[in-house]
Amino acid sequence: MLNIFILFFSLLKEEPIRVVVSYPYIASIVKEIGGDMVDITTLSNGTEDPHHVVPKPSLIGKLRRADILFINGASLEIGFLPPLIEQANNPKINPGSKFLIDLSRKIELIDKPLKVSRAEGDIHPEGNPHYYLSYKNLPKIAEGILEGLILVRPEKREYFENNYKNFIEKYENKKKEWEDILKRISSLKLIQYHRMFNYLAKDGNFEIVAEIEPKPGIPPTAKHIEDIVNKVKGQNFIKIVGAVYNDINTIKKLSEKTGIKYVILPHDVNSLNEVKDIFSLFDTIFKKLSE
Amino acid sequence: MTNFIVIFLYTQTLSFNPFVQNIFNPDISLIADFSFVGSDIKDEWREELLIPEFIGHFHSHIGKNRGFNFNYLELVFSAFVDPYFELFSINTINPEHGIEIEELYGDLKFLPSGFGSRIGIFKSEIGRHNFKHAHYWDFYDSPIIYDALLGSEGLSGLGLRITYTFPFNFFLKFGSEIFQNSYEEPVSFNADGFKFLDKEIESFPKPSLFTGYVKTSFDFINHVFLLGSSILYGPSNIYHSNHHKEASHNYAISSPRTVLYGFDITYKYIIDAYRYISFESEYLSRIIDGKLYLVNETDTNSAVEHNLYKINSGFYSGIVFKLNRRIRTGLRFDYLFKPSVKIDGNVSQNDIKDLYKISFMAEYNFTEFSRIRFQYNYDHTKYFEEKVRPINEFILNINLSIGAHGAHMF
Repeated sequence: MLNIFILFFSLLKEEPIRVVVSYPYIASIVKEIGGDMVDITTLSNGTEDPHHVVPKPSLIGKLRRADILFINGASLEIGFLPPLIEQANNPKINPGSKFLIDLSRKIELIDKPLKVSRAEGDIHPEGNPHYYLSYKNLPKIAEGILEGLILVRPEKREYFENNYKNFIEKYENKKKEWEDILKRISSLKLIQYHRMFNYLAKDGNFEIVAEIEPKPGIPPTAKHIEDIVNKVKGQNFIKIVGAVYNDINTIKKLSEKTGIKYVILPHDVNSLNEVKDIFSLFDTIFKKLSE
Repeated sequence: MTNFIVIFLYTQTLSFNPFVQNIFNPDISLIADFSFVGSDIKDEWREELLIPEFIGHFHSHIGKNRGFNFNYLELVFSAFVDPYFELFSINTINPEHGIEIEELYGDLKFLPSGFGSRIGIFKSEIGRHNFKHAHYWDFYDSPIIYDALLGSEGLSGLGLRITYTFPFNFFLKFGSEIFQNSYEEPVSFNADGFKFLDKEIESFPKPSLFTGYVKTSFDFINHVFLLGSSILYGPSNIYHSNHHKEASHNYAISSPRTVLYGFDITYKYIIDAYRYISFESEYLSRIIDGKLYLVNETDTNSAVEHNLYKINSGFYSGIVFKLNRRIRTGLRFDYLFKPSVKIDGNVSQNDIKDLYKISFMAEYNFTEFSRIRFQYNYDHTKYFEEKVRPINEFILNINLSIGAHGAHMF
């Protein structure tokens, strides 16, 4: 009888951790570190604007069952996640709970506004929230995920740590590849739609020449587009970059007016068909930038 | 330099007062709402509008006077009290009522998984439209069936809510509320007694109002469905005074058991990151089973008691299309069914037929914090001087919000 109980509880222990994440890139890293010990639910699909994910009620059911919730943080989820958490009635992931992991806490954020005012557009007081588009931040993000998973299942520490080491090994190999590409295109200049690729530009030493949005989240006016056209006249080795959800017509119009090629970069895992995981996200970004 | 000044001032503050606590200040937001209304009905006639057998005196808390209207200023405070409670205070300031507590409640954060609870003054979670604040409505005004059965501000009260969210992969939630009494101007539910001519209308025990509801939601790729069903049960002591009319038109209703039930469905097709088409429809029905007090024709200082059995029903259906990140447009159809009224067991004949309203809106959202909206209403639900008086309304509405306002529900 005792043996049956022991067997029963050991089976219970092997139940995968129910992990909920806000974005697919987090899901990809959780999969790397959690292996077969995690059952992952992603609240968005990768093609959405990460600031404006639709708070579908079905997500409440998923949050209700979560053992742990990993978020990007830096107010990126502020527009959709709080009411879902409130409705889920899951004390494990309430704000302030140790199982609500804000990964931005592990990162030194850039672009912290000196003045927090909505006159400056849709700014994030904590700093630019798109830090995951710096490949240099991947180890820190993975570390945050590792710590979170150990918190839920401390007896699996060794397993998670091994997976983490494997992930870092993969990352180091990829890093060499990526840095070789970056060396070749380090004189690249970018016109970006939204302040999405500032971390990427910092990694690659790219100059951000202009932004199509005059202020974050504010649509461009004809005059602003004209100003960009005048500003970039005669400049070489320059690209217009946007994300899949940005207004493609504006991007095309600017491309036509300036003769500068535009490229749609993936901003998250699953945002383009070829972007299946965190490594192919950066593979695709650097491939598209170097074409 | 600016950073240096900020740091200097902060350290100076600390050096002068090591007990500064303003970092604990709650989130505060202000929402202001204004409109310009063009209408083919005079402002002074509005007081006399009614929907017969539904509501005696029609009142909208959203401005409908010709010309400029200041509708409300909503002031919201919210913060965690401690690890166990979160406190919300939603107050409205408007020219008619001054400062009003619209909601003031605490959410319990220490309950077992799946359970939620709210205590205080709050909007009921029944139905689809009721819990939404005006700045979050898809249209300028509330659906007619709400105006007629729950009042233009919907049902709210002082009481307790318990909810349970099931641990399923789809959304399924049960909720129940108990309210002391109707908090806003009573339209269907009221436990307080009053005197009607020579009749003393007895009050009913409190807490008096009970609700129960279930909500569920599921998705198929980009198709989102949300379904709900609700029931309310409580007493109705309602005094109907027809403004600007002789007192002989006044009447009172007293029912120990009034039931209001409803069904709602929301469907949203998410086209891409910014575009969607959504359809929302809600049906409400109220059954009053009690006493009707009419003015005695031979002695206008006394009332005559009758048995009353009345059913009022109606629905609204609206479709909203978000064309891009900034622009939304929508069409809503409101309909009230012919009321079924029995007085002393006899069917009361009335010639109320099709009562309906058609609303069209188009809005431009500069950002999530500022919106300008145009709406046209053709309202065929109001009676004026014993007959339907169709109303044409053109509304230009501006809504501005500042501060730390939380995200909205689906």
